[in-house]
Amino acid sequence: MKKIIVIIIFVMSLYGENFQIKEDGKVIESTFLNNGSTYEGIGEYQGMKYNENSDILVSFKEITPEIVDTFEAKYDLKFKQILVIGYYIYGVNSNINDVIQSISKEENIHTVKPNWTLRAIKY
Amino acid sequence: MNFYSLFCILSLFFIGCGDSGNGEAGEDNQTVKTGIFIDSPVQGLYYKTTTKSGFTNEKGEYQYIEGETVEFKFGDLSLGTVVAQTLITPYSMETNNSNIQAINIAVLLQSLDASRDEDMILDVRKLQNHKFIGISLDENETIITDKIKQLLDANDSIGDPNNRAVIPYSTAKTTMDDFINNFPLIGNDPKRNEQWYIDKLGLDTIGGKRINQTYIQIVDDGFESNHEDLKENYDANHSWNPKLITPQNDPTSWNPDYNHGSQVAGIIGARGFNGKGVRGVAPYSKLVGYAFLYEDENGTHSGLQGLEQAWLSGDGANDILVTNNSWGSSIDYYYDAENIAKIGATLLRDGKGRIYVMAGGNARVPKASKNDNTRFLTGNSNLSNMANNQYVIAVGSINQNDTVSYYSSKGSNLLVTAYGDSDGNTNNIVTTTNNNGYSTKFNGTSASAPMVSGIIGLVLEACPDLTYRDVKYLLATTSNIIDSSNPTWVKNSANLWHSVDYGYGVVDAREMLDVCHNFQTLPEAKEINSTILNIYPAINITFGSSGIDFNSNNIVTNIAKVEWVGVYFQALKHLRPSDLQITLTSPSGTKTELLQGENMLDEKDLMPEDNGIVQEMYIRMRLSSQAFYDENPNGVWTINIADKNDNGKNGSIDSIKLQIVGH
Repeated sequence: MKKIIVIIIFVMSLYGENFQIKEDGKVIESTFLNNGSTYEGIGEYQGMKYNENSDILVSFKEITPEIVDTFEAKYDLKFKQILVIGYYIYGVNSNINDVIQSISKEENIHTVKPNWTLRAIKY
Repeated sequence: MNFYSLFCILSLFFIGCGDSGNGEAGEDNQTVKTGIFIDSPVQGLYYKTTTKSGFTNEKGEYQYIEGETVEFKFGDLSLGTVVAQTLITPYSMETNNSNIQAINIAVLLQSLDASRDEDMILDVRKLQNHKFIGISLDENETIITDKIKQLLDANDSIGDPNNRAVIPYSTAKTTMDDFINNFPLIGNDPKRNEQWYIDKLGLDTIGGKRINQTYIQIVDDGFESNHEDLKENYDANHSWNPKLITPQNDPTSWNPDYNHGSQVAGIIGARGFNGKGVRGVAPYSKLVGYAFLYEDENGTHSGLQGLEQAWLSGDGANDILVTNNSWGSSIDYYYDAENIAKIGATLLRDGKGRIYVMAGGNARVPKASKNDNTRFLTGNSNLSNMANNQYVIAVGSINQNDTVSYYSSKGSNLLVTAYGDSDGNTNNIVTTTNNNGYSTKFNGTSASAPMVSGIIGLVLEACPDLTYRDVKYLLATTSNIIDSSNPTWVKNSANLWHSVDYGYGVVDAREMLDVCHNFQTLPEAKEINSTILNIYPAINITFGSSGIDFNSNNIVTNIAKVEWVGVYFQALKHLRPSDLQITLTSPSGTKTELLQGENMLDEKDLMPEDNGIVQEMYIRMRLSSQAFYDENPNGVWTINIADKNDNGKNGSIDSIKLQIVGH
């Protein structure tokens, strides 16, 4: 019985999971295959990959020092870097998908998504 | 017949008679030798020996007989008299050890060269009878520079009409030394005769200024900086390798199997005329490396932070003229890379913009669908936002026979093409590779893109004030049609021909160099956005060979000439989007295929929880076109979406937007 449960859990782990991200102010359902600790996008997210230890990218609609300071503590994040194109990069101390889903509900968030890598092809 | 005549007749069989000495044959049993005067080869210097006189040819050659002395004159200015020999340089003319005379000669010759940017030859033929009043080769730097400046200011007919600046002392010396130090290996890149693409691109006599100030960046998996044919052009200061445990400047990959970047680097800037290997398109450029791509068991990957660092490059970012990207993503709808390119293209190079060159992709060969192996799908360069945004130059590939390479992705976003592979009977793209080696098999749009990058480097070296939009415009208007019977060619209303296979054709370095000097920079860019469709409920898309037309409003804008057009599909839903063919027609009737049917917009991957039922694919994509350069955008634009397969798999669309950029 225990083996069967393990197998079921393993098979379920290969199924696609829907996660919420937010881009350009819109909450989007994204589908990723969970393969162990790695998430690989399918459909319109094909080629994207991240894992449980990946950072997240956040951009705000409005930025003040207070907003930024509060934000880090509110979600137990660790600020790492600001990109020139406007993303704040944070390390995540809890489940990355849960954190992104929570943050995406904030009105002041323009974009929140994993700092995923893109599959590149040497031509 | 007197004795003298008889002597002459007999002598003619052996050495000629009464000849002034310009022939090839021996004279008085002494062989006529050919020597060379180089700063780089100087054409048009007067020389005189006891028996020979004339002007140096395009190779800088003169003739003499062993033991003679030779005087060189530049107009009426004597450069000096020395023992005639195989190689004579300005240093040969020194009468003391200060090098002042030598450098003054170099400054004079290089500043008065009639075509500084286009070839290696110092052409001073127009000054063969010039009187250099008041100029002495013993003057100091300030005086000689001032006098040359006065000379150029007063005589429009001499020197390079497009570049009137006096060559700085240090530059003149470096240029001269560089060339002399490589002699007698000049022109002797051993594998140059295998580089048919250099000839096909008309680059044989175009070598650049040889001042090594043209920084071209290779964003790739690194390159072997210590390669014998790359190291002289490698620039450590602007390079970066974050993939090492301790990041450092040297872009050499930690993994010797990563040799993609080394091959790309050789095409762009393998050192020319050094007696080693091959010759790059820009053989005196500065090669900047950024090790960006990395691989794991699932393939090659790239990250956003790395891309931003590479494309915007921190210290010295303004120095880099061109960034070559011989990689890409077959499908990506994300604007992050485009946003980085926008910053680089609008702010770097002091606002003129860095030029981002992208390989167009190698997805032309049909591949079986992941979900139905009876269907075969082909890619399109337009499916990648990285390659279809307005800030980059997407490059296709042709073979040695001037027809599209079997792998080169179609795309209305393609701007130009260059060579990616041979005709099958010769080597492919011969270039450098790791371990001090040379590859004969490199191919792909990975190979064609760096040719365009190198040529842009040469053009920006000659015409440094060009903006990124100017460069794109020059490429669109100077490239050459090939394979003219190919049905994909479309003539737009501005009489420019564009093809989804070739863009505006094969890049023409010589024409770009000729045109760029008198090119007026484009007026400020303008943009107009138009909503073509925004409706609820969505419009159904079902099988129909003629498709559905979506017309824009009658666009009235102050944009007179189009540069780029983007079409945004905000919510395109379809069970099998690979069935869709999408075209765009301008107000003047120019029609381009944005996406062909049987494209790689495959149906959503089948998922176990879907019980094998195909799910609707939701697509938010932007397709673009370069086909409308110089057209007037005013009027009605039409987007046609046609579902080409009668398979019961349908879809819907509720939002389409049009973006036009021009001036």
